[in-house]
Amino acid sequence: MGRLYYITGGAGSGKSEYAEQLAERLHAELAGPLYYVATMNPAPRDSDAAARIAKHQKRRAGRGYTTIECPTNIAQLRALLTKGSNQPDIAVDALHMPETPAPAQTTQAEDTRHPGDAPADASRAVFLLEDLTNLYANEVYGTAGHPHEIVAPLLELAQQAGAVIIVANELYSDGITYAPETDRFLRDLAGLAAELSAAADQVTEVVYGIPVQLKA
Amino acid sequence: MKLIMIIGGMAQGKHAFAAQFTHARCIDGLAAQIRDAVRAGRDPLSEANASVRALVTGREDIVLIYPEVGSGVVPLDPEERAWREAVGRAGCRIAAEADEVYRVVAGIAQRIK
Repeated sequence: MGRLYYITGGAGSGKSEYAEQLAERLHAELAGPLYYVATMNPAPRDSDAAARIAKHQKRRAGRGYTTIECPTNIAQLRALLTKGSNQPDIAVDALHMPETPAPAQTTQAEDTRHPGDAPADASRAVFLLEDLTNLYANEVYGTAGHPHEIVAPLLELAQQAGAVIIVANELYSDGITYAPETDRFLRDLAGLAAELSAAADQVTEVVYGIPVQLKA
Repeated sequence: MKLIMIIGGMAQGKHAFAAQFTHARCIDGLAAQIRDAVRAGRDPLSEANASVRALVTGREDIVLIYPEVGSGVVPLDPEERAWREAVGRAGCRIAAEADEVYRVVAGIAQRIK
């Protein structure tokens, strides 16, 4: 059973850097695959977002990450574990198409295991998901009213993998009253955040580069 | 010399907490300086870095009061966004240099470094 880490912080707080250091440390310990789960839409219209993606990609380059674009339907990640790390390309290709259902899991190897069992090296896999806000926004605004579940698949992934690290954002302290739709979005996202941090083994808020442990 | 950084959101009691460091020079307003740099199209981060270098090479103890502004919805206004990001990045830089960092929430100061 893997560990679940919930990392939060404000804009420019250094939470991404902290999460990456944590992922790389766990990857070194577990010696399995290291996945960076990118939830930001890969073709953003906004140049700010494009610059941010480029900055993060540059920082991660050459550090052992396999990047998985997964703007929606996080349950797809499970395919990476059930296929085993000897065939990651198949799952990765499938994951590039966000609206494609998860690949059918009917290989010979699968049949010899109990349903839901992950291959042995699944427990050595480290997933760094960045970030929860984008994932939730994509589900709410990018699935034509048919959002996928977020919390249950992430908890399931954390059970089977070695570690799952979720990067979130502190969005709740600017004292601004937003339009009802935005307000609802924030409240629902805060609810997801609370569920995930309740289940997490470690909850960390990064404040100006300093990790403050809220739950350890 | 020592650099003591006091951070926190609006009206959380940063100045009241800072008052106990009577021996130190109190500096507030770096975030406003960053705002000026963003507005004038200068690089806010290199300017903030220069200010911090000047602070840490001085001889007197410094108490730097610095706001937390990044814990909200991404602002639509590009200038607000750039300011918020630069305050965040400069804050990380200052906190890394600081000898002590206190975070004040609802009047309660917690030493986080």
